[in-house]
Amino acid sequence: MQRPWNSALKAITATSAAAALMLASACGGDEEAPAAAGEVTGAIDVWMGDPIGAAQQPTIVQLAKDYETAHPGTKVNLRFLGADAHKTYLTSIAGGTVPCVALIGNTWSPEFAGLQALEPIAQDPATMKGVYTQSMIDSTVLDGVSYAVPYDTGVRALIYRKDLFDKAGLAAPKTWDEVLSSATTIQKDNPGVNGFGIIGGNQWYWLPMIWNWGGDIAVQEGGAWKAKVDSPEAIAAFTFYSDLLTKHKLAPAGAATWQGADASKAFALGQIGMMVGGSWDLKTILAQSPQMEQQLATAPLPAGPGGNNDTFAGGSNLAIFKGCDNKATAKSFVDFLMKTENLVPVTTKIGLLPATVDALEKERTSGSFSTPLLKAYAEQAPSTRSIPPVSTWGKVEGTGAIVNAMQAIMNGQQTPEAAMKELASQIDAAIGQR
Amino acid sequence: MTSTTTGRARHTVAPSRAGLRWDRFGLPSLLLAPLLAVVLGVVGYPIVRTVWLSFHEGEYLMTGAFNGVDNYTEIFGDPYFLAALLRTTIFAVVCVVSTLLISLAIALVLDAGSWVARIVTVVVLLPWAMPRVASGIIFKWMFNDQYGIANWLLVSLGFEQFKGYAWFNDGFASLVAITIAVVWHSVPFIAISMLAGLRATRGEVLEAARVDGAGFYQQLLRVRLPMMKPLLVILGVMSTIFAYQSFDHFLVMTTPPGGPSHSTEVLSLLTWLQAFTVLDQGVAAAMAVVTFVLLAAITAIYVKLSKEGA
Repeated sequence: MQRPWNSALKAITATSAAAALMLASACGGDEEAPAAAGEVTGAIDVWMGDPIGAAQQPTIVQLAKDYETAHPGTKVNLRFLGADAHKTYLTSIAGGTVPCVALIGNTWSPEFAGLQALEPIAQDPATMKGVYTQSMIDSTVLDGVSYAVPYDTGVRALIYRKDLFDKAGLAAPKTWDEVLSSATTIQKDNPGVNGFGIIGGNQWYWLPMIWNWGGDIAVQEGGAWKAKVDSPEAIAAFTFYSDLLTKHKLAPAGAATWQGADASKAFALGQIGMMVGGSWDLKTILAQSPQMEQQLATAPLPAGPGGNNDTFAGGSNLAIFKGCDNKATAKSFVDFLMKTENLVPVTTKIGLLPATVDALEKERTSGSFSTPLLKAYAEQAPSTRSIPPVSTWGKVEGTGAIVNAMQAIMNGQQTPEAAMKELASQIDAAIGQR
Repeated sequence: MTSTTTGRARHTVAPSRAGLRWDRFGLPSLLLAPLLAVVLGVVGYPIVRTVWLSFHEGEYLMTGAFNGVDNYTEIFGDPYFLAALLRTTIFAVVCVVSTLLISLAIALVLDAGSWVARIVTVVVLLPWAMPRVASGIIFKWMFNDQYGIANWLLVSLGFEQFKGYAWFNDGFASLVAITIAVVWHSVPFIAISMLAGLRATRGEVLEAARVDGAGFYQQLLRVRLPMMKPLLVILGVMSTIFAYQSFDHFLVMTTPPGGPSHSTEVLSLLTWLQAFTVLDQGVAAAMAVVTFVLLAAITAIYVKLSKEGA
């Protein structure tokens, strides 16, 4: 008759044991014994999230099969994570059930490295110079060590209505001042068309303007990171973007909360004269309104008063997890995926650029990015920077602090100075301490 | 099982003191034990664990050192958290009052009861069956500044200022849209429950009131609603919890979640942001505990109110 109590006790003990186990493994992730050096054999788990969607999965599956054929005795267990990959990786790191190889967002690389979850790729990132796009190398580095291999990269460029620009006798704007003047002209000449597609809800479309104005998001001072978004340059950049909406009214008021997809939709409907957009936005526009292919053109991004047109290099890196027990096979599979002939078919299917210099050059000169519409993206690729490589950057991104600051300026809730000062303190709180 | 039958057999033969005690406490405890274990495991453990976590560092979802009330000092020193606390409470009051009133109106119509009402009853339940995220996305479209049906309707009714009005640019307007979506979603269940309550009040008492010449409002306010009081209290508690829990609509409808510039942040959303984007389970647990205590207090007040009247 004591049995039910026993089982209850057992259940409780089991629960706490499981919890204890989770904790133990969470803390002990870095105590994994290094894999026995050498043989490429056995199974590895490979996880991939976005941008590997339904359209790209068959290509990856085929590559895995090719790899298994080329290396008898190996087995690649693929798992596709979709859009929620970041949380899946974090829970797997906390739970100690990591894959061997993973395709991770480039801004997550320092974060996972900071969690002691990733295997170092290069002790000296300088050895990677010239092999990969520089900003993508930067995105893999934490404290002077590289923890991932740059895989694909996505950049933004200027998408504009060539027909409307030609009619007004305008060329693609080369500076942000020209963006303002030509957008004003386009909007005045064409009723129903907004001059510029503001995308207030997504920081990646305008945060790089801080660089264009000669400022910085954050700089390393004596080992610690210090936010620089309250510098006069950064304030001027954010004010300029906000003014496009509030003072010059070059977009509908609702654009303060627009995402890329909202601007793409408006563009496809013929309501936008020009916007900053990635190659994926361009794809969306053309999918929604194919006849627009004749009317639009792309150009590298305009430069700011700081004399550069640098933008953010989005993209993904391939990482090997520390908890992997078959690192030899993992490394050999990563090498296999990085071969130009294996890399380009995947990046082409995604519609992004490959992150290796060789493959990028091939795509620009003769590949899928050699067409007039996409060439601007390949040309923009070298003019990119990475966000501060700090393990805690995810806090800044996740809370929407940057978007909140821009919206506070747009809504007039705060002066640009006050909003940027608050943002700087939030960034400092997130990435300042080590 | 064997011991149970022997226990009972002993009881029928000679009710010893031990046997009596076994019947009073032993057997019930034995039968309740599995359920209690489940309740302790799935309710008790998480609550205790959450409280425990709220007193520890928890960066990167890893439990760190004991840090006393640091997590609590941190959140109560954060003006955005305090604003969210107040905002959530006001939002909950508006939600609960409007949900209960609208539900009562619908329940009364359904209770008036022709065969049409019975068909409508099923239709009324439909919003409840809809996933909240889906309804959030649809309401976001309805309140879209350019193509939304809300602006079209308002402009058609002569409110020209709503042409291209951006609901989600402003905290108050966003909250109006979200409240409408949340109330729309929570009314069906409450309305059907109230209908059941109203049905139960039919009968002799109501008949007597009618014979005494009580009108519709007198019947409702003096007889039917007081009879439904226990049910109303439970529905009040449930819709309050429902309002405090509202999360999906906020996450889906605002950009960034809780925006623009913090103006729609509520407790559930801040807790989620702390846990899953800032990855600080300690602070998130502290926020969850604050919400828990708040809801427990509100529930206690409801229960006390219901007892006072009875």
